Amino acid sequence: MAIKVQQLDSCRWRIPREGAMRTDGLVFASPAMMQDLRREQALEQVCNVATLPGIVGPSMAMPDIHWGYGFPIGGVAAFDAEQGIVSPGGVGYDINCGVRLLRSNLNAEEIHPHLDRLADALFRNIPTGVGSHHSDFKLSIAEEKRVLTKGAAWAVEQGFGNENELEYIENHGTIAGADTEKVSERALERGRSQLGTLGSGNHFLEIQQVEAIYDEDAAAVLGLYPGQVTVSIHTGSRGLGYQVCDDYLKIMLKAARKYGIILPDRQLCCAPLKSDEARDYMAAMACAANYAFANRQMITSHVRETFEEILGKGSADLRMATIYDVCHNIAKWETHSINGQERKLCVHRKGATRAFPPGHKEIPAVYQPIGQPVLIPGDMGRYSYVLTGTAGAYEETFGSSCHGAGRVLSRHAAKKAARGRDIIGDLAKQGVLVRAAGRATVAEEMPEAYKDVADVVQVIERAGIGRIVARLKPMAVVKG
Amino acid sequence: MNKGYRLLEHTADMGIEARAESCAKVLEEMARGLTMVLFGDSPVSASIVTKVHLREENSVELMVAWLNEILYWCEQNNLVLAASRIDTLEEGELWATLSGETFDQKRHHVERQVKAITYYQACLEETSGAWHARVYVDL
Repeated sequence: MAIKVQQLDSCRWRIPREGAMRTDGLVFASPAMMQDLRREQALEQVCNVATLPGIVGPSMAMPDIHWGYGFPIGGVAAFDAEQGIVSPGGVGYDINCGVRLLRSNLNAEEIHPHLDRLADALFRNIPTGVGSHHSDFKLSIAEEKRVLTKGAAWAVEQGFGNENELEYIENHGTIAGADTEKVSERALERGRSQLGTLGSGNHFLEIQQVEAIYDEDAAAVLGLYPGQVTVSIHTGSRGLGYQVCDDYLKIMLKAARKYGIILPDRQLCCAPLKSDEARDYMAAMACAANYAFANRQMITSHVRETFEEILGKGSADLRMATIYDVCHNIAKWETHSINGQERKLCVHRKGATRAFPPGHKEIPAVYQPIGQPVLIPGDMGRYSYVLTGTAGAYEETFGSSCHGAGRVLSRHAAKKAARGRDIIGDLAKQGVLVRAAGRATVAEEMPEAYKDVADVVQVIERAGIGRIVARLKPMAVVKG
Repeated sequence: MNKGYRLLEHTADMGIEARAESCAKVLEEMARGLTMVLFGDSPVSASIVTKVHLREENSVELMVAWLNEILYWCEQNNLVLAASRIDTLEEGELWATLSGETFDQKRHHVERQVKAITYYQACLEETSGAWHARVYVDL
């Protein structure tokens, strides 16, 4: 399918409405990124999302856009509360997959002699890999249901972190409206022993150092300075979230038939937001999102304990505090101004990060002058970025920005490119230690498999939908 | 496609495609493809056996449910799949036997995690006397 694309400026591309599309597509990308995009099916997926009922504004894609399933990865779409739909495929299997960034009181030189031991200990203390679970920690069903309704607050109640931290998590670490009766027994079973685990694939835990500061005022507010050690945690709702998504895709396939919704792709199955099916999904999705918040909260606690153990320092010396925790696979009720009118919308972000502007009431008081922190991991060899949300994003993208670098090589192509190379050895020579559980993961996740995230965030800043604050360089990476 | 299945390129994820002389055989080939995605070519014995019964609205949804069931069985029980056999196949319904063994780090390896089997471009159809199936998996 040849997609017509019109260049609007150096970073915006319009896909004019045609056929069954109810609205235009709008893709944020550089000309070079657009050339690559034309070779895969991500643009077709932007068009498919544009056909869904009740879509408000364009079907959008951030510059880390790549070929997904149903929605493109990097997709953002908002739906009217009265006429619109919710689609589990527009959230994805890993509900509330997200990123948390911790700052510390440590300098890179200070931890360098201990880096090997730190990487080993993190790899040992935080279960990684396929089906990873704690051998000594299994929730009762009753306790798990408390996790699903309370989210990160449950973890804090259990002694994993402190209450002040909750303010620095999107939605304070708890999405309202969670109803555990809407979560299947199988989903509950899958979640019982996986809390506090990283999982596999592109999930990671990374020790980093602040390599460059671009916005000194914002960096000061976030407590970031050059040479400082930070830790990023990228994971989500594990098997529980995958099962919730799978359960509700089946329900939504039936719902789409029942409500006469024509689907260009089964994975986009959905139900009207006013329907019982949609209400049930939102309640179950909130449960999975809360599980993910609790997961990242527990891992944060394990990271702190590991640093204390290896460095022989107390928490007061390390001062490992959460800068922020963002979701990048989620559907949320939000109010946005459309043509001067306040409207309640269900905003789907599939591989996209909320990026609310300075002064927004839903971001922590201390961040009000600078906007919401937006955490953008790159690949394991180069760098990651910290951005802040802008008024431009709020006006144009429902307060959304990118979520990562975006893949550029298929897994097969990455493995082929890695053949004969010692990826872990090469990264070690560049000063990045890697500990990984899966044999194929390191090759498939090699740096060259991803776009240069610097190019991605430059498009974001040029488009005015995010502002670059700092660049973080990896020192040690734990992969699933 | 001399194995009966092949793995398909996808930027972020991976596809599995199979061809066989019957619908039951093509579902078994898809299971073999999924095992290759998950565990590569680890040698596996069939010491643990379980029965599966699934019912869905149509054949494509049944195929997705079948592969998701295998994923669940392996993940939840820490098993590696050795073989799958469709015992009976009816319209939107199947009875099958799965066999495998407990994952042993010394003899098996995990290639990669599959989060789920998606419905994206999923198909199961008979053309020119042969059955063809395709799914994309979320990694």
